[in-house]
Amino acid sequence: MSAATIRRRGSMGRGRRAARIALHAWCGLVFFFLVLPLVVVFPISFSSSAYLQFPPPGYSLRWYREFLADPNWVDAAWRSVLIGSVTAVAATILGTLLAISLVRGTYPGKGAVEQLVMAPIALPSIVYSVAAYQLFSTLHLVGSWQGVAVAHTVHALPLVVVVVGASLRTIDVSTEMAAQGLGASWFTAVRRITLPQIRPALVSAAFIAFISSFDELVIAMFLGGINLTLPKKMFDSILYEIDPTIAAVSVLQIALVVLVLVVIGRFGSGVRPTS
Amino acid sequence: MSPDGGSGSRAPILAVSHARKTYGPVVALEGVSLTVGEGEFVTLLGPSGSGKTTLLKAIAGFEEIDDGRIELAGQDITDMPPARRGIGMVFQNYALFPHLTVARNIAFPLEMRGVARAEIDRRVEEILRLVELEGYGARLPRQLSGGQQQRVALARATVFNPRLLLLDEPFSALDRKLRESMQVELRHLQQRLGLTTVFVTHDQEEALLLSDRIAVMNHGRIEQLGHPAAIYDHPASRFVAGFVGEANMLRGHVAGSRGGHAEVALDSGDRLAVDLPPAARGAGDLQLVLRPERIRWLDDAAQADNAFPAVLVEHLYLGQNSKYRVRLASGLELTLRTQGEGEPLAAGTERLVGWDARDIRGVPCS
Repeated sequence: MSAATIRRRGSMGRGRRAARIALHAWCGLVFFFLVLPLVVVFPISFSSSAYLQFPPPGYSLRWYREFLADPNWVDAAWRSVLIGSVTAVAATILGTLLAISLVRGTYPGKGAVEQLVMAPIALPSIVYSVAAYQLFSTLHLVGSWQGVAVAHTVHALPLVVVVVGASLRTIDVSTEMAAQGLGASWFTAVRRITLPQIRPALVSAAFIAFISSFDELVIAMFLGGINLTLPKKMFDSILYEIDPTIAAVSVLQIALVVLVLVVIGRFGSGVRPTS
Repeated sequence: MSPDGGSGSRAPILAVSHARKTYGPVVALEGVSLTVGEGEFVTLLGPSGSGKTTLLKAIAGFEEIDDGRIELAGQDITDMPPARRGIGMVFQNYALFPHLTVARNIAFPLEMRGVARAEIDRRVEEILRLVELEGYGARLPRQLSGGQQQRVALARATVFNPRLLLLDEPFSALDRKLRESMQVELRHLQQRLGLTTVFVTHDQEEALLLSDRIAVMNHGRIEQLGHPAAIYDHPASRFVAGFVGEANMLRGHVAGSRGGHAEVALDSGDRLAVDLPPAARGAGDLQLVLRPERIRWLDDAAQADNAFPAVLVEHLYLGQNSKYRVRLASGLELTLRTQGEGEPLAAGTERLVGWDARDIRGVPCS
């Protein structure tokens, strides 16, 4: 870099610095706005009071004990983790196959399939839920956790297709061809060459599918019956018996999501050498 | 030897016959036939859209041909999936697996063939030494330079002793200096391993340098197939003459004879002494090819069979040689090339230019 450009940078410095401070301030505000609920929820979950009171009069773990002691809460939590996990696995596998077909395939009606895949997102949840209820009642799936998992899987498919499809478009198709030329079947080429290259997208897609299910209320309300999921149980709890257990549950829910995010950060990042 | 300079005494490894491929209304291959002998280096040379890459992909198995037949070592492979053809291919962008190390990239075809681990390690080491990348086995492709990636691609395509090696414009992404050294390396490797090779390029210099034979392609056909010298000195068509090397294209008809040569009257009005094969003498219109390096500056009209006063239009200095554009009295413009830096002539200078009757070639009119 020449001396002239350094000098020019120096004279521009002051204006830039002001812009940076403004940017930092704005980011701080947005961040504060986003974490504000946590600032309230966190202390309340450790409250000693029997009411939702802020700031709490004293601190205790009684609401966590309450949560763990109540089989209704624990069952709902496990059920949601189970449904979320099944949804994540099923939606990622099916969505990835669909994405491969949409990105790589050439067949009549591909455009229509591409539009149709997005339908679960475009449809209002309530309409989707009513339709699913109608269909599942004839299949005797209403009231079972499996029914909710199936409906959640279909609902998560477009998210997976979008994330995986975008990633698939960025990788070089000739690597898949090269693998086949070097002796791999198409299936082997996809498994050993294509999928490892889009691994970060697969991990993200599975996470998004899990969250979309774990956090979902409307479908679970229609299809869950007596098998309450965590969001449904929280909803009921707010309606009928409001106490700080709900805050404790929220904190646990947040903790679980953060844990999943950390695991993804560890295993889902970029291309890594394997030797 | 056959007239096309065929695979000669070598046993044919690859035989493509009457290959045809269309994409909707576009004809990519129009009944192409080609045989490649064992250990031979054949180049498919042509402009983009000439069908050379389609032909290469059809041989590799990535494109299905609509009609025709492809044989490899006597076996019909027309409908065989690429994985079973046992052909090594180097892609234009190398197509290295970005998530695998150099060693794992090269090991891939061996793993697919169920070769034992110890044997794989030994062969990967051996080929890394051969392409001068010892010690690079643990790196990722993106940590290598373009030339090094190129050599990994070459190693991966040859490590399993393929029956045939295909290369799709492998040097087009490299700068000129690197390209030249890689060309020489490829030729040495190919000869050392005795690899039967089909090479695709649009670079005529590269084709002339590397090939045992060149197939010049245009509009989905092979316009001419032959040794590099035959392609350059005896182009079979106007297209070949123009695409391989530079050429002054002249049109005319036979108007008589002069000193044992045919006399041709050009459309420009100039009259030339030309050595024509007897078959061409009676013909009507003629297409003539005059290479720029065949034209010389003359001091005296008696020094050449054809001599014309000319005016210099332009002088281009190109380092190792010089290019001049001159205009004859008839208005005909010719390009002339000399070795060395040439005389610095000013535009408008009048000089005598000329060439001999044997320096000019006739090609079929089209």
